[in-house]
Amino acid sequence: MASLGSTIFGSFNAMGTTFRNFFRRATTIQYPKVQRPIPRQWRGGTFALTIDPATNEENCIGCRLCEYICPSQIIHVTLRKGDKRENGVGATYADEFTLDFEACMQCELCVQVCPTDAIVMTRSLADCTYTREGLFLSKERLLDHGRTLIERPDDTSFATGTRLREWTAASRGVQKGNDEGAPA
Amino acid sequence: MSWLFAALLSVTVIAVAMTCVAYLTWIERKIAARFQNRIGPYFVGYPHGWLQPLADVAKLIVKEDITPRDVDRVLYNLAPVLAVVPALLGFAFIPFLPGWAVVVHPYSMLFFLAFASLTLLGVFAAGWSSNNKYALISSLRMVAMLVSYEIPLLLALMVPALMAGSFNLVEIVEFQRGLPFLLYPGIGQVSFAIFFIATLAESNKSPFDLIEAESELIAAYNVEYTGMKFALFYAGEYAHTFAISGLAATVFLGGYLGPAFLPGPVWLVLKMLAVFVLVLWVRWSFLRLRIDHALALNWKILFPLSLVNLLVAAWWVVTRGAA
Repeated sequence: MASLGSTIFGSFNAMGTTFRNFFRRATTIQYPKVQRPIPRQWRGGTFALTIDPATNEENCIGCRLCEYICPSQIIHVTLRKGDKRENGVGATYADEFTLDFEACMQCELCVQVCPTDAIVMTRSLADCTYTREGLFLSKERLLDHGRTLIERPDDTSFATGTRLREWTAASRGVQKGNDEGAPA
Repeated sequence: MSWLFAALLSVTVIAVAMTCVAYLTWIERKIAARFQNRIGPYFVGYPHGWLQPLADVAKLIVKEDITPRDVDRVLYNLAPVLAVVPALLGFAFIPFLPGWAVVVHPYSMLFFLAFASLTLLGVFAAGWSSNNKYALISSLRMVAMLVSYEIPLLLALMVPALMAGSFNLVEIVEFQRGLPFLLYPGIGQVSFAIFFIATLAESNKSPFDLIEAESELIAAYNVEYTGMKFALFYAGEYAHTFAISGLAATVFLGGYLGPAFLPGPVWLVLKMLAVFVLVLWVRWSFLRLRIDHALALNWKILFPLSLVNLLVAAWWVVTRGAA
């Protein structure tokens, strides 16, 4: 009979819990109409190749570091030598730059190694498509994303190669400014 | 012209009841959402999904109606009707005002209970004719539950009938005039608790929704049904719950009685909704019982308790001479 008492007590306890929750604010939102702010260090977006707004030139120098570090091996870059850029970043370019977003696991390593902050993740919810081709990011699409980032700076992720290297260097106790590859 | 009056009233009652049943699904979804810190239906009928039931009905009507090859066709097609009609018939006996019931009868409570129990027939017909073992087991569970819980349910309802000295719902309501809220002293509350638990079990509401234990039985007796036939089972279930809420409001909560600033039928509907919300509250607070636990609760606790309660009520009637 002791169990009967605890059953009755537990029953009222359970109903009290649901009663309290009845008056709490809903934790869900009506998604397309209301959107939660995306966190500053969001790592779930799609990719962009940044463009220098001053000279309107792409920052990518085709160094292929992202291709080498990508664990999923989805980035492919071919290098082309060309004329020196106006902003003095370098004289090499990515002839082709493809990123197969379908297999991307958002590890952000490519962003971390990029010496010129050329590849970044966007702070937008990833584009949904109905086809696999829709997830294949060619260089043109990546640069398009980069152009929208100039128009909407809020969509840029906090993480760029420079910032991430500063973070990891600081946590390792390395003095700031040691990194030769980082642009000024 | 009394038949014309009855016909008009019955058409009104059925129309109102079916609309209510459609909107009960909306109420249930909104309240369930609140209990789970969600918002619930929102966009169909903008501010809070007011048109969601209509959209659901439209969707269900245009859905494909599949009749599996090996079913017993006559019973299979009859079962949804059998599930809805008895539940709606129950509304015929609930008095909205003195003399304002579709059927005014000295034994209206007994008739109500008889029709409420008939819902079982539709469910069992569905389970049997579907030619599906899950549906059959589900409907067998329903029979087991209903046969067991019918006893404490009836014994609990005997208490108000005994005290009012009548099976007439109007007289039972009139007997409650002047009595404190939630009925007769002491005995009535116990009786209401037993009745409420047995009602949950009879209308297959959680924690007694054993017939639709998804992990064991896929869904329920209506596994093989699609489209509007499937929807009719749901309508029947909600109509049944709402009708039983009406009985609870009438027998225990004073039916159409209430302060005079609102008319009687409004009080009745408000009380029915209150009982319905209580059912939902219980539904979203508890886990499903196992079948043997559910039956043990009935036979070991509710059944003896309701017998003792009935004896006490009889003693009260004899000593006070209330009847």
